[in-house]
Amino acid sequence: MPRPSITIHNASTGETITREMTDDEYAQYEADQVAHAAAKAAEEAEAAAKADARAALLDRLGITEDEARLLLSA
Amino acid sequence: MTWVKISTTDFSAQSSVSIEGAFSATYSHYLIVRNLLHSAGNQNLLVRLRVGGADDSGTNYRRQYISAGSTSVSGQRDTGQTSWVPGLGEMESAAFGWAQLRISNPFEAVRTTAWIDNSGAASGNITIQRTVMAHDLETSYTGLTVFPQTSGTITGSISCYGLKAS
Repeated sequence: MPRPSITIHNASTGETITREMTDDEYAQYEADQVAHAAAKAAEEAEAAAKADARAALLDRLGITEDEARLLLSA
Repeated sequence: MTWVKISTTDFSAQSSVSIEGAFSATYSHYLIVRNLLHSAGNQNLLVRLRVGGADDSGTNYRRQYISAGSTSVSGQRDTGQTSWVPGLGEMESAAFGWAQLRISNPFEAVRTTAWIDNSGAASGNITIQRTVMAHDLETSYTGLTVFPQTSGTITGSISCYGLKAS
């Protein structure tokens, strides 16, 4: 399977090269993908935890989300 | 003051695009304009500074942004990042998106700063975002690399301008 393709343009000479990633470039590409997936998973977990906590609080108070919003908008 | 075009790069289905030799002692301030599509949905186009044929992928990038959607306004600060997010704004797969990035003093051996205004229009939403960005190293850079935040490719063009004082 071919590696991802990159373009390098030299603004001084006008030369443009399009080629597959080198070993180092591909290693960085894969590291970026892993880092982004981890950050996204952490972000989603935090959002889910907040949603659970909000739902639990509303349940304890015995009010709906719309009613809570109405209270806070005053 | 006048923006002087330094280069335009056209490309198709690329995983990253680097522009070398764009920053020099001729100008202190630069404008990067892109017009492109992403192959797979909405996501950010990231930016890394570049010199000597290599990107700086160290944890040297910071940002502060404010975003407004409908009546909600939010902000966020991130430090120790390995690229500027969203260096060149949010991309879409259905429509060419436009954004402009301004970079100050990338060639001087001082901290580089930048800011971008861009719109987000993902999934029927519409937002306005302003992000200021900084780079921690006092290093001279001659170019930059742009790449999607996740896998997929970009197609379109990127132009670089320098600000002429008179």
